[in-house]
Amino acid sequence: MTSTVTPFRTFANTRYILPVAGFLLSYFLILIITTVLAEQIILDSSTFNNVVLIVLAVVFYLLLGLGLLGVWRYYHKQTEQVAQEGLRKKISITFVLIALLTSVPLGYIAIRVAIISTDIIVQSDLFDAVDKGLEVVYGVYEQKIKNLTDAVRTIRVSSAELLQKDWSELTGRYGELVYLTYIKSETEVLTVGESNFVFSEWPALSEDGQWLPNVRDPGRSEVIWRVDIPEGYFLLVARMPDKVSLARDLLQKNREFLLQVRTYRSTFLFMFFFVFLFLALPLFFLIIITSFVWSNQLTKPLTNLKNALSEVKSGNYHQRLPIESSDEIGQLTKIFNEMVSDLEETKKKILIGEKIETWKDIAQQLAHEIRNPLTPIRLSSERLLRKYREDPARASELVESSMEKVLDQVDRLETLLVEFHEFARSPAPVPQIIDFDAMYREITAELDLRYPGVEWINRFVTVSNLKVDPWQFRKMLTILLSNAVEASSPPIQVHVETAVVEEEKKWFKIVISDRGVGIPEAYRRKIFQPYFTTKPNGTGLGLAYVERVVHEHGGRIWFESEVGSGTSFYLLFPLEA
Amino acid sequence: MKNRLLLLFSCVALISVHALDSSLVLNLDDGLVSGNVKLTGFPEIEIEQAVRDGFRSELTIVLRLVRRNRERFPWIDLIVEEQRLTVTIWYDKHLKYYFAQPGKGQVIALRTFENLISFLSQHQFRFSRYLASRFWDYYVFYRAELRPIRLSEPFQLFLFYPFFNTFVTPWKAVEVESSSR
Repeated sequence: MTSTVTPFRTFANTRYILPVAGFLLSYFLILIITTVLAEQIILDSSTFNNVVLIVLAVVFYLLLGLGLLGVWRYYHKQTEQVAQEGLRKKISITFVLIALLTSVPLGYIAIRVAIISTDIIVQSDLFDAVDKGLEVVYGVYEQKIKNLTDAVRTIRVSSAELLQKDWSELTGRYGELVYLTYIKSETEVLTVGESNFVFSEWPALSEDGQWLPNVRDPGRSEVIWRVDIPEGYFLLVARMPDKVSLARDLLQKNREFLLQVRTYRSTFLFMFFFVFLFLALPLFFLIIITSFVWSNQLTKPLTNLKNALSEVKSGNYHQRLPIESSDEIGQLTKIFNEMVSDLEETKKKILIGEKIETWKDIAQQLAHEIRNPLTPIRLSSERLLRKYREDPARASELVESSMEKVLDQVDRLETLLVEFHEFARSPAPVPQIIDFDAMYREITAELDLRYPGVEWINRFVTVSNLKVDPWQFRKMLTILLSNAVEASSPPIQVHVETAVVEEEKKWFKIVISDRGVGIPEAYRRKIFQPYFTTKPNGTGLGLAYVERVVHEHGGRIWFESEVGSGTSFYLLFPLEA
Repeated sequence: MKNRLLLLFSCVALISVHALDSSLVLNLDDGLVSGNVKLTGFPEIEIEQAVRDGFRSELTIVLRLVRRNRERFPWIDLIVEEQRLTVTIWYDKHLKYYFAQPGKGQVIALRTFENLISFLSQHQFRFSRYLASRFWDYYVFYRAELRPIRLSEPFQLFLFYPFFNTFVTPWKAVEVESSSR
């Protein structure tokens, strides 16, 4: 049995540092990218470029890939370690449920808010209000320009002096007037008013008198228009009230926005949903990945504990677990380690005690077995000596029979010592692949010479991966088959059956059954003990040897017996994978 | 679903039907590169419809003066200067005039749509980088983008939709040495 002793780790919680750091880093990275990108996509397209999109896409698909990998690994393990994954599955599902329970309503609320907001804008009278407002503003322009047009028609243009005089009077009454050019012909042009206006830089004017705003300098409130008179025409500049100009600019800008909302509402909502998913899914996948990592971290100590308990159950008392935290799991691990230490100590004591007891038994049995032949040897020797002293001449009559008895008992003693030596030597098995059928045929052929007339009834399966020590296995089979024959009365039938069974791993099963007298209830607990025998010439080491061989090969042995009906021995040997 | 299909078809239609195209004539005067971009194949119906509905249209011409990298990394040329010529156009239904504003500068009032298209067809530019010598290592890389409807801020996310409401010319390169004098 091999044992592994894991060294204790005094630095607690180190296994949490990496996942926590990874989680926080990923979370803040995604948060920053999401925040920056959300602003860039929605508000500032000028700085939005393909590089940022690629970075986002890479992060997104990386997380997506990791998430899918986690899911795949999870289900892969699920199929391999169903029992261990129960708790992990519950924790993972809990995490995902929490994420869904929070993110789905939040996503729904965000999209509903967007829908309701656009609905309010589309369904309200805002657009009509802006249109009417623009009509009012332009009405103000039209009215002022009409009034000014009527006024400037009164200007006399027969001479420059009169033009200047009438202009001065008009600007006194109409403060809006800024500048006037009288064009009689291409060569006859008179100008009055502020001198910083240069008509040539202004846009071409409509011949139908349509006024135009000062489009040269955005933000200025001047308008320019043409007034036809019989002697030619005027080009006029007037300054409109700043508030009216501002209202016109704002109304035009907002009309454009409202028009876009009305036109692209459904497309916008679809794109909003798309962008929302694009930005939110990485966070969701991060939660899923985190759930896998954390559930693994949480269940790992329990899985280790379970595996360690299995090891202890199978006899490995050297098993210890590292204490990595001071929480309940850490305390549980500490208690487990202490408990296993106590168990190991107790086991050692028991083993020592058992060993002493066993050797006492063996010594007693051995002494008893040695004493048995010594008694006839002593009696024969004393009888021969006594006869020799009484009548030396007739002592020779007893020599042959007495010495035969002595030699017979010496032979028995020698057999006993050879068997004991064989049992006590217990060399380690040297396993190799064997052909069970061939070995069985050889053994039964030898037994047929010793026990003629035995009927061997066999039902075998052929295996090619039975790996055992051939010598020990052969001797073990010989003992069991001999016992089966010796326990039976003629006509002797011995049933031998083999099979492959699967119980955690694959085993080679051998069943040897006889129709003999059976094993009485009182003997059943002792049959594997050394020197226990019911046969007159038995050494009591056969079944003890069999049991030891089976155990040293990692196998199992048990029997079923019914007095008067027979006994079946069952043996299991692990098969090579 | 209807909405998505509409978008898809409109995008395919916009790309396939109209072929906005461009040509460039370069001048090299005293080491300064200047030139004239000529655009043809405007989607006139889309533009007129958009501006008469009350939207603003936007034309952007991206011009890059590029130096050919012949030494360490020949596959990566160096952009030494970039210019973006932008013209915003709209229609005032009260004044019945088309307006065009290059960049943030002077607004031009135009009486007819034909005048507007004519105005949009020609664009002059001048790079400020002085090419003292080896001007044959330089070329101008350019492309024009036309959006019949200039999108306001929240609608910028339509940019996720490739070629939505956008007409583009292919990127073209004109050698400074061969075409200019």
